Amino acid sequence: MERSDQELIAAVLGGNQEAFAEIVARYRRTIYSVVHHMAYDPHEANDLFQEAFIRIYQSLDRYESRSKFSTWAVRIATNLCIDRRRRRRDELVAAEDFPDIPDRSENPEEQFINAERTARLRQAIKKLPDKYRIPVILFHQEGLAYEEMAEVLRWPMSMIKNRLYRARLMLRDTLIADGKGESL
Amino acid sequence: MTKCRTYRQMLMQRMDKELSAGDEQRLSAHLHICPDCQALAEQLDDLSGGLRTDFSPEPPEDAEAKIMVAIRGLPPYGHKAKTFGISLNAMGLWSLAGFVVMTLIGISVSGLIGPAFPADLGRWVDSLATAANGIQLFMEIVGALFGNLLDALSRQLMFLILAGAASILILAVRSMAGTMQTWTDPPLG
Repeated sequence: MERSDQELIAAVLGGNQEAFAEIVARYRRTIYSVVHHMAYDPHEANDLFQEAFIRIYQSLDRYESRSKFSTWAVRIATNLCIDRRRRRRDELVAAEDFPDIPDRSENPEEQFINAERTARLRQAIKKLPDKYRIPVILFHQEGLAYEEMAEVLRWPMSMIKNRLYRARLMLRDTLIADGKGESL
Repeated sequence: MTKCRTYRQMLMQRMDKELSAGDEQRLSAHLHICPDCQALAEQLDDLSGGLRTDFSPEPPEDAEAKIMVAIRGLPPYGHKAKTFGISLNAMGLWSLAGFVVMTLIGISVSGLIGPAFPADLGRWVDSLATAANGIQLFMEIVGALFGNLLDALSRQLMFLILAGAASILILAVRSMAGTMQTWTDPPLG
């Protein structure tokens, strides 16, 4: 029977480090998604991925169960990425350095179109300033609700909504400019 | 234009799946008569479809193993913040207690109401030596009560340092008090 997050946390806090492996397995995709979209290159993404989980482990005794564990973990990963980005002045976009994501559709033509669209969208997201990119990632990729985003980012809800709306319009403009009138 | 702004806001709410049925109908009616908003609606629908695609790659295969190697290098919970088998909190309390005890011993042996420093430096040194011996004896007992020889030694060292600090503090206070007395004493005669 699968143990709940609370049980795993209690086990880790009781001195069982191996229970943390299950937490890592459970949230690795979520955390990697956050760091992947906020890192400059795959090497940094891997670095941030590891550091995020170390921070989660080190802060585990400060986790309060009134918020969802995933929300709390995403907040730690997001803050880590924001800190790292603040330290780095270089804003060069290196989206093309990331490996292509294998497409799951079966039609080769569809595969090509989807892959191209995904690549363009990914690059467009990478070009967004942090304050617009982060809400896009959390809402559209991680599926966080506005309330959860407010908790993660400690921004007012109205600000999150405005930034997300603005980000969508920016993405649309970028994709139109890049595609020179092609379909998004 | 103001009207269009309202409908564009609704388009965003539709993307968030927060649009009421009534607003959905109003928006739909507006899109039939406004080509600009209709174009935006189509673009946002396309974007929405693209954003639903999960384009995050899988983390590297060895990432989890690397994380666990790093985690195993950290102190496990339950054993965190322990030194020489006693917790830092307990050590802090012992230090505080030791400091208070040593300060009291220092005050008594230095004779706050006894000989004035530095006139009787010899007696001060003797008193401090006596105090140090007393501290050692005290620590032997503490060490015997609370663990192995290493613990005892570490505590002795810690308390001796504290005792030294306390004695220096007392000497400094005495010296200052003496100076202040010199300043405030009325002139003789």
